[in-house]
Amino acid sequence: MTEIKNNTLNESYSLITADCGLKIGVYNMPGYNAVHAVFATNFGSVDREFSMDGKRYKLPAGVAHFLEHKMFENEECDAFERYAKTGASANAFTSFDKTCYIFTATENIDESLDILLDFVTKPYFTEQTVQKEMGIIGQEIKMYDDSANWRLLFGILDGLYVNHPIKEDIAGTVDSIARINAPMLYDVCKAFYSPAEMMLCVAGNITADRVAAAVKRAGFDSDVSDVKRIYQNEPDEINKSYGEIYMPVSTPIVALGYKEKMSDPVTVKEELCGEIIMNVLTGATSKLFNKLYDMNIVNGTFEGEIFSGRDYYSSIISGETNRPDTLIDEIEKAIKELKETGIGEEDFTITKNSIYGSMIMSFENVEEVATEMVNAHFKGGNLYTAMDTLAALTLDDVNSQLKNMMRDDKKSVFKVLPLEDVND
Amino acid sequence: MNRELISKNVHLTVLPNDKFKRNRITVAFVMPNERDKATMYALLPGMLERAYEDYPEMRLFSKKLSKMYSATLSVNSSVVGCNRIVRFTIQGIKNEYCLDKNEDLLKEMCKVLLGVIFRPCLVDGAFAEEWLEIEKYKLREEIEGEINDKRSYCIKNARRKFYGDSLNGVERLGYISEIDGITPKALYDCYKNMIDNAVTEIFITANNPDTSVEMIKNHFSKDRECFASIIPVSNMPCKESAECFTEHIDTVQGKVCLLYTTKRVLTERERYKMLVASALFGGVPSSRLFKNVREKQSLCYYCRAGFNGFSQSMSVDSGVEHCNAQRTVEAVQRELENLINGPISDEEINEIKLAIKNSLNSNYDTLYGLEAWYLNESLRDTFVSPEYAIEQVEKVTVEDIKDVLSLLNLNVIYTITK
Repeated sequence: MTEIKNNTLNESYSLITADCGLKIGVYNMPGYNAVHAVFATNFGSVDREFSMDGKRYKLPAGVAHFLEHKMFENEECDAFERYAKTGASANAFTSFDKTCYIFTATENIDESLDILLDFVTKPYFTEQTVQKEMGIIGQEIKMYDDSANWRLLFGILDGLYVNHPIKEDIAGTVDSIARINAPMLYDVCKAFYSPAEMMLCVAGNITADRVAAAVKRAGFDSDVSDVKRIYQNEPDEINKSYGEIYMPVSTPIVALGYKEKMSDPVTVKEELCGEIIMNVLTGATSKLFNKLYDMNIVNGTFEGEIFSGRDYYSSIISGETNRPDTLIDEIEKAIKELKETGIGEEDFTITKNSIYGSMIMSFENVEEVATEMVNAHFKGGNLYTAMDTLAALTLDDVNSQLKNMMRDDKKSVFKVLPLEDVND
Repeated sequence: MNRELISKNVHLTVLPNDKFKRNRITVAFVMPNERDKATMYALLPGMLERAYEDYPEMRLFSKKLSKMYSATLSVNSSVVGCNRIVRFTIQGIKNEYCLDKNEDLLKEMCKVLLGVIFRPCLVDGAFAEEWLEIEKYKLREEIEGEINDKRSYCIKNARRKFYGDSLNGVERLGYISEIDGITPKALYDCYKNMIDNAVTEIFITANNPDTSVEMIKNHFSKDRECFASIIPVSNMPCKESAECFTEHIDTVQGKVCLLYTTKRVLTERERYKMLVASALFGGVPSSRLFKNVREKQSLCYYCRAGFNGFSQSMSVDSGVEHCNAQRTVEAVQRELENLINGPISDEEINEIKLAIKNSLNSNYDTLYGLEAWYLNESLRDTFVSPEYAIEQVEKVTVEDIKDVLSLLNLNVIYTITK
């Protein structure tokens, strides 16, 4: 067991590697009623090809999310029925690069941990249950099809990326999930749901010994397959510079995105530098936002974000606007100006302090702590890596990254426009 | 926890804060949700959040908050039953986490919050016209934009069909037709009336709160006038039979909302019975709607019931295939009927109680959850703890559930389809 400490917070957490290879992180938070547990695999929607014990597997879009739904069901009953007996509030989610099974509970914690560790590692699929799930997931896909912001995100990602699976909806499409079958799901489980591929992170009023005891009770074996992820070759160029769709929305929504070239894998330092740049460019303290807000070109939905993961990194600025072309012009002008002048000392210090404050705040919530533990360790660091990296960050670091970002030849625009405008 | 009356109709509640990384202060003004003031109440947050006397420009004020380690200042205007609440909140990291160890951030937070509440930027005794025009534009956009989220749009329209122009139906965002007519002076008078007369609930959730308590007390003087009162929970007469409405929008997924209200106002004891009953009906994954309508019958992606004690209403909302909308409506009604007339096992009730207990206990684990719990309790004039609520939930029986569900009447079925 390793104790990872942080002097600023005057706190620490335990990191354990169990005999079966499962990594366990436990953040004891005295005074809290609830315990939040996240049992995660480093397998998400972008993992579409891999080899296992020498054999190659190719997956249709949506397998990680489909599996997340199906894991809740086994031969006798579903996991929700078991959780109902402990009172835990349980759920799961799939992101681009991981799948997480979670619960929050204030009592019967041991029993809930037993359920979590059991159902996620005991897959049960038949062709009949797989077919039935297609209907429910099809409904979920359709629900997101009506979300303008969701369509905007995947519209801009499609503009920026040529081959990368990041451009495809996490849940896949009705057509892609129709190609999923039970043997395929078993293969994925064997590859990515073995304890050695997973991490269990727990935060709240609980000790590391208690969590370790639950893992021991689960009796995992340490069988490991030789699994290698196969990545799509993604060119530096963008896919297309413009796209648009029409939907029943009241106001156009616009995204301006830039495909960035960073390290592979992307580093925490690159993400933090990007966050500072986006804050200075588009945040509440920026000249740009204040000007556009008072000109009624943007509202509170305006934001700039760094969209990054293992092997992708882009800068995306988006928001609702009645003047899409003016907004894009203004953003481009502000980028040009910022790149010419560089970020100043005052803006750098204010933004750094602000991000530091946000980081401190994230340690007061059991859900955030457990989830961030998973994120940090899957990235190869620990929960305090970002805070330490931020403290060491200099203005030169940020300005030298800025010089290479947001290049005109790596730019794409996507618009969601009101149906009424279709004939304009 | 310490709660005291510090001035006429002004309560100050100090909540303990040993475990959180942040401190939080909220001042909530509560008054009847008058229709002719609704649009002005909706405009106030934008006008007040952007600046105040000490930091008279939006960008300057944003920089001030960023320097305070990303402290957040928000003004929120919400509707609870027949009442309007305008809530000013500031939160930021505790003093011990500041990079300068001599910094008293809590004191600074309190100063900023009081500045925003009592010293807004004014021009000739009224709000600045230029800012008001900007906020009017934003409000118009927000009202027009409600159609973007079809789920909440469907629920809102079901409520509109039932509540109409009654006090329970006054719109949170006000009315587009009234925006143009609001003058800087009229808005200032509305603000001033709120500050002088609204029932006020103040919450300080902080470690070492003494200085902030003193500052707050000094600003809410003993001779403050206060004519407003909180309107108690009431309900509208039920419809004799449910009215059906269909709106055609080009969506991929259809939406359905069934709006029920109680035939009379529930007693305090019945409120806990309804808490268990609505969770069993459709509030948690082990509910009848989730298990039967979504999982067994695969009729929809979601189907959820929620009871609002302040308006005595229950909405059931669902995302469905367009062709399944009618079958879903029938299935929801059948599930309610089965709960009232069919068997309910002890095991089922015990599971629901465990889930509610879990949720009530979790209120202690977030700054917002703790404060929201006691603010709601103050509006009900009960001010009980989550533990008390858990005790009441434990006492609920199968018969209690059947009794309170029998009080529900279906008034409106609102459908969005292609």
